[in-house]
Amino acid sequence: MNLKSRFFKFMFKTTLNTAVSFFLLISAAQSAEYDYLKFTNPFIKKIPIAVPDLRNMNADPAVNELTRRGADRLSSNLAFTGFFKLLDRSAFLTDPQKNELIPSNIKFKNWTAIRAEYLVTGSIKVFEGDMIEVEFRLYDTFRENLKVGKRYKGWKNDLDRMVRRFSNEIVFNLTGIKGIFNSKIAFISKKSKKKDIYICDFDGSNAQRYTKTQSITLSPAWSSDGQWIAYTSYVRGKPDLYIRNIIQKHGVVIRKKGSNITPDWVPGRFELAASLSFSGDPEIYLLTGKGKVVKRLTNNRGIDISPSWSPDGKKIAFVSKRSGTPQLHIKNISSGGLQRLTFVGKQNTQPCWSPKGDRIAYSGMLKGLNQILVISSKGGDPVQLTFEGDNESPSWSPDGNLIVFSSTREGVSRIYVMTAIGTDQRRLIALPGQQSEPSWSPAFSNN
Amino acid sequence: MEREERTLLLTFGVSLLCHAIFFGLMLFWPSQSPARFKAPSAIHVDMVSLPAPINDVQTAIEPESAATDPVPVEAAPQPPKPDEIKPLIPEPEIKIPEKTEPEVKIEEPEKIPDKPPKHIQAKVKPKPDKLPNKIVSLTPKKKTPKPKLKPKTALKQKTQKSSNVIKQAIAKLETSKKKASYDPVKAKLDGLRKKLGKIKNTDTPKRSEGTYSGQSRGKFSLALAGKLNIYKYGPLRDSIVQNWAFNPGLAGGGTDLEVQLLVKIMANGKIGSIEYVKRSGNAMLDESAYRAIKKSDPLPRLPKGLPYYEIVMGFGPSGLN
Repeated sequence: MNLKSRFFKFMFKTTLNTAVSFFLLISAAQSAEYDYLKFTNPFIKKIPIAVPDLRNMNADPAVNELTRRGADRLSSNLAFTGFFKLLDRSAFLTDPQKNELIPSNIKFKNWTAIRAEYLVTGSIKVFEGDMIEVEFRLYDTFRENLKVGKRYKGWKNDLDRMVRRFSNEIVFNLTGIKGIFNSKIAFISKKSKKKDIYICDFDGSNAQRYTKTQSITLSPAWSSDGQWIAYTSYVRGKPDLYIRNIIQKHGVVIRKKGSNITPDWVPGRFELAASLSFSGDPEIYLLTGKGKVVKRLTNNRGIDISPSWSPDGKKIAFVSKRSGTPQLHIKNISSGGLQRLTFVGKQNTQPCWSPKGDRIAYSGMLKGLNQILVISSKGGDPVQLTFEGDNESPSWSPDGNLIVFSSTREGVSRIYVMTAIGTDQRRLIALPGQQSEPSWSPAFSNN
Repeated sequence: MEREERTLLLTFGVSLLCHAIFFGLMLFWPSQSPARFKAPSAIHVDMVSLPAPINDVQTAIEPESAATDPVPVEAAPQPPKPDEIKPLIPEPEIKIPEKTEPEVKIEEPEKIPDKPPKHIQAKVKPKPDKLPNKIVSLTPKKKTPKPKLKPKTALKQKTQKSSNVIKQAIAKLETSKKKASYDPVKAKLDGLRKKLGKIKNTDTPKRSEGTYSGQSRGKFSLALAGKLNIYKYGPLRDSIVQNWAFNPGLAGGGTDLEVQLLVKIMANGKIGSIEYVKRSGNAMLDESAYRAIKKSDPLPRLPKGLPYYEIVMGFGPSGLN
């Protein structure tokens, strides 16, 4: 009996102890929170990347020019995005012409030592008849792995195109967004009172005249497949709307009474919105690519111009004077709901909806000069991106990371580009005369 | 009386069983937040550390499917990569040659992952020269067999689970094996030696390191907590932030993105492990955070008295403007 009660007592105690220690253990484990430290402001705003010269596979010194050109073009493409810092090649610890850059030999510590976070290696081999074979590889130097590798074959003259393609691969691989290196920019160039459309590459190179009128041409707009371009021309004495196939150049003209201006294509469809004034004051209409009016989108006594579609094609941002001064408004096409977007300043025009959909760039009058501003498509406070000279006609790059615009900061109007947050502003093109109204094409997958 | 006692005993037994099951479940039920539920594991592989962070051995290449583009410029598929991982040759049990006390088995091949989990990379360092005297080991060293064989392996980064580390080490060895210049026999011996080192570590009672279990700050003395705070908001933050390269534009204007990593810092400032606790959904941001930490390795020394320090670091751009 005594023994038994003792046994019970003991058992009871043990159980209690176990239970308590269980509890303690659990609470200890759950309260075991780690220290926490938050970082919000990156010290380095551009990702350091190393692009050594391509490797010369021919041992022919004549090819050296190509090896350098390949690396130079790739570097300038990457730098153009504003996201990369190209490391100085003279700081590299590795000679690209030795065997240290073939895939099995790469010593990543040579690259992490100079703080390169990514490395792009390449090689070029020239065959008879000016054919070349180019290989590129993108490495993550800290994870020490290959991110993407490609081999291209083609004519020697196509080296730049191959480089552009691999630049696209790099950007897509790292950011998940299609690169812009095959995109084009259309703009207006004015020379002796005549204005024509020119088209150049994303970086301002290879500018070529597109329209050859002895007249005034305005506001080019790309269709979302990049096959069509719409613009206003005074060829027949008054502003008419032209819709043309970019390559074959056939198309239609919309010559309604009054002005036919400011076209913008519906994303993903062969339709566009434009401002037509045949009914009296300029209103925005939806048109087919063949020039037929589908329906009227705005109905108001004030002037309504400059439509810009949201990327989902459900809304337009446009300029309306219905409240007295030109201000941005947003109209929901299906519901008909209307909302005024800008309230600051007396003149806000030229809206351009970001391809990401969250923001709208526009030009607003501040202290007598137009500046580029960006506002959330839901409204709120605008952010001013330009401060020097008169800045107009913002147009987003297809990835939504850059904005092209015109500026008079260096005297006559030229085409400039900047990042979506206003950094890295630089001139893109300097042709004789004046350039204005840039319009960035969609990202072409093939070029 | 007798019966009463028996009933009591029975009730008691059932109750005991129920309690045991209940508490057992509470303990082992999968936790919602794995990061927070970390019972101190028996094996701390962190105790062996190599000063030199860089390895010469190339790591596995992520196989990328090279999409072929049509049109003038011909995009060919990727050229074959020389260092793809091949399946490990099945190995029978291998016993450690002479003088080594514990018996070591090589893991069976099917357990070996194709590649190590991304966030943890055990590294193999084949350079002999710097090694022996620099090994930072808190465990009493046992004699290493055969000085002739280069003692070249050490773990740079560790995990809580020794089995993981071993698997990675072997996977790593496999990649290094592919190199023509690499002697597979040496590699094998290295692998064995590594395992041996690990076992030694497990043998050492961790209690001797002090009561510090890594997480709870409440366990420190106040003075130490103060020093740690100074360390955290001073040298630690400075080092990391200087190495963080990211462009807010890459976050797509999102201001609420945040990636969190659990970082283990050893007493000498070396980084023991980096582990994603929470990803942001933006791969570029996730990677930039990882690299910021890697670039900061080694960090400044911890305040004296701490064997290691675990901290969650959150990275998120504060947004545009």
